[in-house]
Amino acid sequence: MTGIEIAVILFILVGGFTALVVVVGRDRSDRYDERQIIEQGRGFRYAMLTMIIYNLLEPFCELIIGRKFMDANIALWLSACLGIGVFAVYCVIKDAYVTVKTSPWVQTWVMGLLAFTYTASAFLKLDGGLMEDGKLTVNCANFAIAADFVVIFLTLLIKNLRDRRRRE
Amino acid sequence: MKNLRLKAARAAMDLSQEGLAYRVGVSRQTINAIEKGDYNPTINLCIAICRVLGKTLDEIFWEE
Repeated sequence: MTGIEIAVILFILVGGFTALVVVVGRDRSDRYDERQIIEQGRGFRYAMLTMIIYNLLEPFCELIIGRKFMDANIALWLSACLGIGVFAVYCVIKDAYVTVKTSPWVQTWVMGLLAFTYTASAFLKLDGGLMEDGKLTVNCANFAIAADFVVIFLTLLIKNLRDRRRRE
Repeated sequence: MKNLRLKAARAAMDLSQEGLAYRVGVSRQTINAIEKGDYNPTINLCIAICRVLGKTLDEIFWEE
């Protein structure tokens, strides 16, 4: 069995198990309320705007520097990470990230765990460095995803602490 | 504009924002936003709030 085949089987097993847990264990009455859905729509617009600006700026920077400093797939990953980050942070700030019945603290610590494991994983996979032949490597995408998780975790943490202090 | 009548009606029933939110089925922050005047609720949400508080739509949401 090749490495790719093992990776595909692992992906299907882990993905399938997680999907099963989410579908079976989901509280069907738990949902976002009307204000949260409106805020998510706004967050989506800001995320799209950010991605458009990024996709205009990136080739512009390459034009100024005079050479490519990342491949198209890395640029795509960074663009997606930026968009997701903007969307998530906006939703957290506007209290539209967590469903009505979900505890914001549970969500925060799950995000913290994700941030920790993904950052550790990004460092462990850091063989060959972040730059190769003057171009950003795929390791940058790992760090961009880790940065997304860290930023969302910190935003959730600060928001929850501020909410708690305000209510006391 | 702040909705002080909603706040007063809620306080009269000794309900916290969280308690009202739970009974209506929305987040606490949504009730807070309505009271602060930051969010205009849909008619369905207005009706749900009025039912819980035992008030009419006019008493809570109508502005002269």
